[in-house]
Amino acid sequence: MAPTVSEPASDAELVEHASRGSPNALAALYDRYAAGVHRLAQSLLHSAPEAEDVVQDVFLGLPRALRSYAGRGSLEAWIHRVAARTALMRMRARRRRREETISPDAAPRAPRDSPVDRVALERALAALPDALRVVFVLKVVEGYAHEDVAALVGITPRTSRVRLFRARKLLQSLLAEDP
Amino acid sequence: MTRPALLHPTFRRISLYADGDLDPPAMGNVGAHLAGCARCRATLGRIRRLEEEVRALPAAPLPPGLRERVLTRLRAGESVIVPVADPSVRGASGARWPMAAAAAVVLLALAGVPFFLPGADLEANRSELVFNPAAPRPGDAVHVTYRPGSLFAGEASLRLRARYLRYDGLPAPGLGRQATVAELVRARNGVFEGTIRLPDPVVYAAFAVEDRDGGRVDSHERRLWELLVHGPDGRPRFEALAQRHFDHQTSNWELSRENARQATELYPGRIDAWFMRYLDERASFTGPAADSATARARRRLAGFDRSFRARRDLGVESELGIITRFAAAVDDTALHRYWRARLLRRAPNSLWGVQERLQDVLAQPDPRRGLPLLDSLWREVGVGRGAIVYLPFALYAATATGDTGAIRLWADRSSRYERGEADGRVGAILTQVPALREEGMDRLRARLRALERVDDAVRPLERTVPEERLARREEAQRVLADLGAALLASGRRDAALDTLDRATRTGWDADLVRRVADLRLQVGDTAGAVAPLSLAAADPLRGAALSDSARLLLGTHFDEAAWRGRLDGARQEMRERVLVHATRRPLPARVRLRTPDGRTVALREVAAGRPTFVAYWSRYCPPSAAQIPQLEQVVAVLRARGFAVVTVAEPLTPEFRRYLREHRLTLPVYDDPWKDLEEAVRPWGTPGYYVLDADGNLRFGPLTDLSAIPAQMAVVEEIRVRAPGR
Repeated sequence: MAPTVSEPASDAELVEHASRGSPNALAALYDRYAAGVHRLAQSLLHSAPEAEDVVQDVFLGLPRALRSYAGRGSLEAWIHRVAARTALMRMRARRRRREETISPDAAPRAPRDSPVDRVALERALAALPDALRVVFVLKVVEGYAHEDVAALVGITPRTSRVRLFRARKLLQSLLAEDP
Repeated sequence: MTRPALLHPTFRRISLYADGDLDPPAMGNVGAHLAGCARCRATLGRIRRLEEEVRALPAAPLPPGLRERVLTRLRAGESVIVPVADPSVRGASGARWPMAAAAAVVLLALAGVPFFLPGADLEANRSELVFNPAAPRPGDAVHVTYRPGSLFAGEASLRLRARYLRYDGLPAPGLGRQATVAELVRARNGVFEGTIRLPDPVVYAAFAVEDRDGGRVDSHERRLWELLVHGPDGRPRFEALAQRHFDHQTSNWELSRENARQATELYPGRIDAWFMRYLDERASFTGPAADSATARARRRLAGFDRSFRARRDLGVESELGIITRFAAAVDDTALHRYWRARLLRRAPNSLWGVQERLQDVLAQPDPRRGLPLLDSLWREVGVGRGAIVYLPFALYAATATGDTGAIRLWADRSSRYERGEADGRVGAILTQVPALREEGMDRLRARLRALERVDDAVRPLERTVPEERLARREEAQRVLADLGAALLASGRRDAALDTLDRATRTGWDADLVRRVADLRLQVGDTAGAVAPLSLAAADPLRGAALSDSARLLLGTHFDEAAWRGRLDGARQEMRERVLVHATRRPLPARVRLRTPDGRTVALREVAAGRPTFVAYWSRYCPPSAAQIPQLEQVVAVLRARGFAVVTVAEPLTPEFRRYLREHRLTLPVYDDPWKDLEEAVRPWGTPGYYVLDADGNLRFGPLTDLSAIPAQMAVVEEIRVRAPGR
């Protein structure tokens, strides 16, 4: 019998049942991991509707995708990787539709050495070009190594390092006092 | 010649340095520059702070109804193909240098940037120290290879520190209790190499690796690396196991027990192995388990008794003395009487002979009659073996007699035996005796001077130099408080109050600030009592009760608003002082636990976005068992304040549940059958206390003392509240 939400099961059990399409197992996986997937998608895309789409895509795709989950490493890390790829795929599609520009005025300014205002910080992150924000989020927030960031994004680790440095520099100038 | 350390590195280089992404020589150059350049440290600080703030940004809540929408579509059979493989990578991957987080953040701390120090050995968990030969014979040269984790990127050489113990438990001559025994030099393949030679009488050694300044230490996650001298038959020598046993007894009872078990397996014919094992079991077990351990030990003892009776060649230290103490330990009066008589006839001045005679002193109710006996025993054994004369007991007995000559004599002996390390304790005792108060104050001042520098011989292997400095600063504050009290008692009011102020200027010890406040109130210095009293009232454990009475103590001229203002300031002060000890180690997102009713829960479900206190405890570990009542009290306070608490002790068997019920323990005890939490926290014995922040980062720990936990939990919560957007 498939595990129910009220009887927490191990990830391995949930994977087994969810890959066969068990709604209860998928609901349990949603309860366990949807928040993390949503947070990651929101950080990468900075768009609430698109982040919601990523959550839907990931969980609608899980029954099929789980068949390629070999059980090595943590399920959460694997789901996050799938979520990151899904979000990046959306981003590429978005980029094909429009070009983004950076405006230094897109973010408000905060004093250089004080804790920055949350809204200012979020707007500064949103103002980063996608290519820089993706590397920044995956490396700094998700904690991936440059090699992993490079593999996910389809760039070299060297490029990943360069983009991280540029992202930092740009964020600092976006949040800095008047130059 | 250009000196790279004098050139400001570019923002790009500082950014790469922050990630440990420069090659080792460049890491060293940038590190050296940062040490001397406040501007560049500030740049690095801004990088770190910004990222900390980004990580602290709250997650947007899941849109309402999304779960239902997803599940409805799933039930309708909808499916989406999501990418399960990475896109193809362009180009080859470059070299990657591991992160030297510790180095970077130590520099931040120097720069005064309010940041979290990562635990100095957090990155070193994949390191390895290999000895060749791994089973050395006495006096062998041993080649040491150290494969570093990511802790020591950029170092050209490292120091191997050790604690060497001789077969008789004394430190190796000339080496002190801890010493640097070799320099490990980086070889071409990235490993560090060196050679040590174990001095002949040394049978057991424990090791840690550190950088040249002692700023970063790889202590093998506090387990240390060990080397046991082996005999010609390939077994570790019994004396090596015995010394390892004593070494572990003060740090890890589980390992100590395991070591004793190993000793009986390797040396089943040795009575000292079985005695060692019994002492451990007796100290660890309670109830039926203790009874059956004693019954087993008695049977074992009877066997040795039969084979020893006819022998006249018994070893004094390893057989005759042991069977005597063994018989006393299992309360076999007849056997004890017989073997004690034989021991005292043959070797009254041996270690065990003295132990037996000491029992007579301890049984003596009148200290005036016991003290001369202790004195003659001391003269027989000498300062090197002073511990067996129970120095603290002797000093206590001397104080009870009121004989200033005797008090001074035993105070001197204590100081000599502990090489000045006991001066704080001894000085405080002397200041209680009016005739010896000045002498006691001199000792306290001597201790304060000694505490100003780090003494490598007494610095524990697993402790960095900055950590040792902090520990010594904390001791100095207690010594200052004692000195202040003594000055006050001798009528030097101004000097006393000045000293007491210095005692509470740094660190976080709620009991100490309360004591200073009381002393100030005693002399009618109400104004001076405000600061320490408000600090004591800021402590989350006992502060609330104190806060209500504080205004009464301070008098009516101190109004409610002024007190509130003071209290706010004190809480801020507490935060800053507590943060000095903070670390930041993210734990894995998924840590499973089993609840007492058998359900599986995730640690983060238990935490539910709150700071979490994690306690490892054991009813079998004497130091941990002694803290159970205090643990109950602290946990009750934390839960009342809405914090999450997880304690882990042992599998929740029916017997253990009965124990919890019978002792009316309300601690929330979880099982860790998958060892997820153990893997995440890497506890080192019991008691072990840890503080996690609301995001699941380990912020404080391992701690073996509960006194600072409430303040640490409060600070961790406050940071969350104060973080942007929280």
